[in-house]
Amino acid sequence: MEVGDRAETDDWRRRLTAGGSVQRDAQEELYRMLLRVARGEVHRRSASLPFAGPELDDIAHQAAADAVIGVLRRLHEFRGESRFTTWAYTFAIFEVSTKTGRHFWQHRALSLDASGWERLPDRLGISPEEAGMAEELLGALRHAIETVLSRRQREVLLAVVVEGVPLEALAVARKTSRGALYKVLFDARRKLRGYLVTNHYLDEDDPDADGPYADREEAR
Amino acid sequence: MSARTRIRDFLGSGEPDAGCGETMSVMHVFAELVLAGVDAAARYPGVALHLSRCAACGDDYAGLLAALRA
Repeated sequence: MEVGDRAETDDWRRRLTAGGSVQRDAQEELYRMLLRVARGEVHRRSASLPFAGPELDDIAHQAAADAVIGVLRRLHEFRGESRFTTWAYTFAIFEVSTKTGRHFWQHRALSLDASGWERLPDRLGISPEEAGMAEELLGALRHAIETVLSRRQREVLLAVVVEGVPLEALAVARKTSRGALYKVLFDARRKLRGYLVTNHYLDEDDPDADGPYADREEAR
Repeated sequence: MSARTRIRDFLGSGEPDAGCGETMSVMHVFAELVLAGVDAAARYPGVALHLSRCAACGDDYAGLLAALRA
């Protein structure tokens, strides 16, 4: 971080903890800055969202307000590894992500019909011709999904990979975190890979170095 | 690309993945390194892998870069 950036970061810290009108003005400035970021982010995501218009601006306002609260609550944790503004931007981005996930269900219901698995090859980008040439491998993958995965792993895999539900939206529906769901997917993929390698459908050409992530509980 | 390659890509190779929590906690540092032309992936390989595999974190990261470039 440049010297000038460090001075700006220190100035934000000082003003946001100064008390009185200085602190209020800094909070207002922070809100305006994060509203600009949140508006840009909802606009950037708008093409993939099932709603538009005033609802998008409502989300931006809610995201900016909650992002300010988050920044103030965690200001003591900020270690100055980046500019303050970059760190603060992430709060606005994450809030937009969470709020659009929440709104997702106002326009769509969750379908976990097992027949959806038939669309798995297509969702993985496998053409009908390629699928025809890999019937045995795809059959083994389907068998592994049915036999080695837990019900929860199957449901999360079906929702995210086949139905295309955003992870953040599924986290809202299941009252959990994005990180916890990603861990479910990670473990499911590892089990499927293990089955296919053990039964010689795939080669084990990479070390199974899941590292510290494998046993860690993700939470946000 | 063959079905075998696509399935292998989908299942991953088991390389260390930082997960959503760690990735979100250092995303601001990672983004600044990238914009400064530093090899952020070398410093945070698990984060780089995660950003390539987690659509949600990857989208947030794209949003952060867009905001920083605006």
